[in-house]
Amino acid sequence: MSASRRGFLRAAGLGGVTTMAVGLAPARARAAGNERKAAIIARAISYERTLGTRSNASLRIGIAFARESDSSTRDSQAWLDGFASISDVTVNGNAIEVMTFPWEAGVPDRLDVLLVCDGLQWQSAAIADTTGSKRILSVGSVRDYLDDDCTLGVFDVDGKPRITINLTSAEREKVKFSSRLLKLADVIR
Amino acid sequence: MPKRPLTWIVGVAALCGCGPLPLESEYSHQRAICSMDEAALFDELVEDCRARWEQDGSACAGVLGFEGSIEGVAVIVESELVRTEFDERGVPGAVTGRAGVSMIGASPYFQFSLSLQHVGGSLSDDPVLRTYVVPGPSDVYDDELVSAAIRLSTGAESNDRNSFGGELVITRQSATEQVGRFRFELGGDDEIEGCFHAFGTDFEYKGEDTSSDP
Amino acid sequence: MIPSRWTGRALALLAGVAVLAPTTEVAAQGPEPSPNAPANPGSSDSAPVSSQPEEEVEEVEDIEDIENVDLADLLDMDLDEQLGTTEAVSRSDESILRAPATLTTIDTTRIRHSGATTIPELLRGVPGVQVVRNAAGNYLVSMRGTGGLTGNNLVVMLDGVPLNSPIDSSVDWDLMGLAVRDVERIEVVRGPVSTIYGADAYTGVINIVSRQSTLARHAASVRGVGGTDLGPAPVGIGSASYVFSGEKATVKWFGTGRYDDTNNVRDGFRHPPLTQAGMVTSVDVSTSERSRFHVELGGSYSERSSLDQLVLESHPTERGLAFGSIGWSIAELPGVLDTVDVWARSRAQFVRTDPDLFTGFNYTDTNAVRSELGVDIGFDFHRMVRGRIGGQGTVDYIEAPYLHPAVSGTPRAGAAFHGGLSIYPTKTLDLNIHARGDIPPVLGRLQPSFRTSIVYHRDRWSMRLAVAAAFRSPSYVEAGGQFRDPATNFVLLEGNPQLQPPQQATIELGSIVAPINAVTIRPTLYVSASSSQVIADFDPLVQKTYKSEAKPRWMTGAELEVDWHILDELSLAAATGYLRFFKFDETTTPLVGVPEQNSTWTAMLRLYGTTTNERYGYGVGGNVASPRSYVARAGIPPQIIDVDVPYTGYVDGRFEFQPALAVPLWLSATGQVGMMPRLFESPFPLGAQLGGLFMLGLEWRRE
Repeated sequence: MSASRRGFLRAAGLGGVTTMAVGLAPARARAAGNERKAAIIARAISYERTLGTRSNASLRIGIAFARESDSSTRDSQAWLDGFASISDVTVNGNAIEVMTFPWEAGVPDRLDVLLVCDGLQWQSAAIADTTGSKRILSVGSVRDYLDDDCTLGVFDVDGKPRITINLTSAEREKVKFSSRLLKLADVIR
Repeated sequence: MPKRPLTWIVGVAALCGCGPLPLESEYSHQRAICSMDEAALFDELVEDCRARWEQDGSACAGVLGFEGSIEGVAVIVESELVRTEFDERGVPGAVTGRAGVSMIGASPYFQFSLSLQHVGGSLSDDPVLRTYVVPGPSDVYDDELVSAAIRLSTGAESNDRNSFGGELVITRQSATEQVGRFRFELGGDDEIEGCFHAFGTDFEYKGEDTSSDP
Repeated sequence: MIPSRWTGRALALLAGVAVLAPTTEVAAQGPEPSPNAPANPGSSDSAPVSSQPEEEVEEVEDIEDIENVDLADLLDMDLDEQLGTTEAVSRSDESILRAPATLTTIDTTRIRHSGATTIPELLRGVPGVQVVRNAAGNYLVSMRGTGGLTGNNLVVMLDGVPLNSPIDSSVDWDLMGLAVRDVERIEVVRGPVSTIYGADAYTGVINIVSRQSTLARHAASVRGVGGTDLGPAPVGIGSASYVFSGEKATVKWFGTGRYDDTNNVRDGFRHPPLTQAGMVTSVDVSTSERSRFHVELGGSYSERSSLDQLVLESHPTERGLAFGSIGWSIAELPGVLDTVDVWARSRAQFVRTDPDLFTGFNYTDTNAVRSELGVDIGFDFHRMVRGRIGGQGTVDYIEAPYLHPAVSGTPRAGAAFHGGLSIYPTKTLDLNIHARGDIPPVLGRLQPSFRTSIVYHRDRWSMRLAVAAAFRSPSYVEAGGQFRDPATNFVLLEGNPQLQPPQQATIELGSIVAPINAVTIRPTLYVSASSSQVIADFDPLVQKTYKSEAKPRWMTGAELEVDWHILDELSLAAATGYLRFFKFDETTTPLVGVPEQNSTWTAMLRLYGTTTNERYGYGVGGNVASPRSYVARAGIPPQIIDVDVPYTGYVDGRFEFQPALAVPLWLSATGQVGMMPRLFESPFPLGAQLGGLFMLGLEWRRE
């Protein structure tokens, strides 16, 4: 089967499924799990205008958690599960490579995205320094992170997932989102 | 709703100029000087004009008024004539008669030239009473028939209307004056009715005997 | 890949249409865990996937490229959220899906990627809107069968401030004060809306919204575009903007200038070029958590052709417009009171020309000011009942040599009161009723208008039935004009204060449907009766004046718009409009509403988009309008117009490119060509030909 033929079928199937599963059933709001949030984050990242200049063959997402915190560990696991569900997905042609690491161990090399799990509130300044200096897009797992130093987050609002973007943090991390994404997001300046 | 805004709004509304625009057509400022009610006014206007005409032959050429309908518009005109043309015809050995009269005046909307042809009749300082009929297009002119037309012009536009019906009554036809009343049918529903007292400003004589020139 | 994505979306559309039904819910299926998922948290290597919650991920199971997924789908956005809200339909914030009138929004993306350089050119793509270009900067824009010799049948607003001339309600499209590319969106409300906007909004309202708060705290842009037509004749447009978006305040400034001599000829006659400069500035401050204070000031100056229904001579005419508005609004008040808006606004206009150039009527020495003060109060009686009342006072001051001395230089006052109720008996049903009484300064007597509607809405569609009646106030020229020939002092044009206001009553059935998130379809059907249309009774030499048409004109129309966000890089907009008069007095020729003077149908198709990184942007499209013909008297002194306008249309395109992502500089190329460039669309003798133009531009923008 040719690539374009496969693409056709996948796209058609996707269109139909998403339409039926998502498009026509929003009356019953439901909280989004990390699987969907991971997909939303991946989709949001595809609107990052400098993505082509950041990543190489893959989009490296690091999930940082606090080693001593059970909740943080659980959070990182949940995110990992979430991204695993879209492990075949590419973002602007880049495969997604996901890894978890304890913040205390230091940030791995060549990260494009840093997903900050619950339990790292006290490290927010350090995280901001790191993402700013290394031009890493920060994603917050907790809404409060977005008010401080993280750039992107997906949170449930009235039972539906909603994207939040902190433009000040984005500027610090040299991240530029397209206007199309910003139209669908709650923007913090 | 709070009372104050209402009061304010009503106050402003009442302050100046609510109600339809206080305007009337310029025709409404024209007087029906030919009506019986305004006979005295007409005489006053004529005498005023005469005084100026006697002083300066071109200062006033008479008074003309009419009302009726032209182009479907109700018109009323009160005009001081600015020029007249008396067209005299003379036959050697006979009295000079008046072949035609043109009276030029203006309304607020247009200039007009009322032209009466085939009037005929001798000139006399005495009052007369001659009644003419304005014929239809196929009638042959004789002594009882007169031709009438009115030319309207604004400068940029003009409109010639011939009368095909109506009548003309001449009450005075002297060497220097022409007085009468008229009702001219201008086609369709258009019709005007009015009166005039013209003082001669321009004279044209056609005939061999030029001694009767006024 | 792109073709497969297109077809995927197409199939999704078909699937969506097939299952479009209220309260459709489809059970979700869980996917298989990914076999190569990463394993262990704590490891810096890839970790395996744990068990998946059944309900959450099936919609992404087949994703290969994440760009294939509509983000709105992932976000579970219903149509209401996607369409957003508008203030244009009811002058209060309401859902577009549930709005009680036909609304078309031309958004930033479409504006930016259009070859149009003026707002009327953008409006060509809106069904039901007829745009006629007479000369550079000189347009007639009308809606729903009111195409004709005048363009004063709709209200045009910039950020909610009406810009129509206080004298005759016409619109000087060249006096907008900001460049097209500084427009955030254009909201076109079609149908009678006098109930909301008062006199003159009797066929619709066009609200131009200036650039809103931007992404950067300090956003700015400077741009220059220059080019030529096929002549060649030059066009140059320069503009600049600055927007400060703070936490409690937004400050905006826009400036623009234009010189345009393109497509300004016909049969060897060259119209005066357009020279224009303008600016708009506004400050919006949150004075507390619940109250806001807003000030907007603007002004514009232009010189362009005088061509007009009363002026068939084309000579340079200077026009100026200054406007200002100030408003204070409080929201979320306790108790029944919900919102209070107090506002004041004013606009002043002047027209100057060299009267010696004209043999007939001209607008020189016109000075006009209209000032308004109003209050609107919103009530929240119950969760199912909301109300709104308000009132305003208006004062006009007009000074013009062509007006009757009793009108010129004499202030005129007007007033208006309105009230309305919105009832929500169920979560899917909205009932609206709104009534208004206007005493316009020219009319001086009460003229009612109303709008009532019922809107049934679901997650993916809405259906609306609306009945409305509206009117236009006779203009100062129509009711109080008195133009005297300077040479002879004869009255060449006289107003008629007894004129009846032209009225329009419409019943409209409209819908918004989104079979899938990427596609929105908006069909509308309407039947209208317009009565008391103004007839320029210029035939009689003995008095040229205006009359009211005795018999009503009936018409029906259909409009259809489709927006399809095919891919991130590609959107499609298509629209068509159809109009048919089916009962009218053939013996009269009013200023507008003559069947032959309106295109029976119009159509538009447009493709536009940007690359994901927004370094490349493009738009290409065209529109076409069916033939029209004009046989009427116009001009003072009048001439007989006998003009046949065949099929007209434009094709335009724009391409922009950012050479380096790090440098906020864009290069652009814009082209526009009329179908058969030598054709013309103006009803006026010597109206400019369609032509074509090509421009190159440079833009620095930080936003």
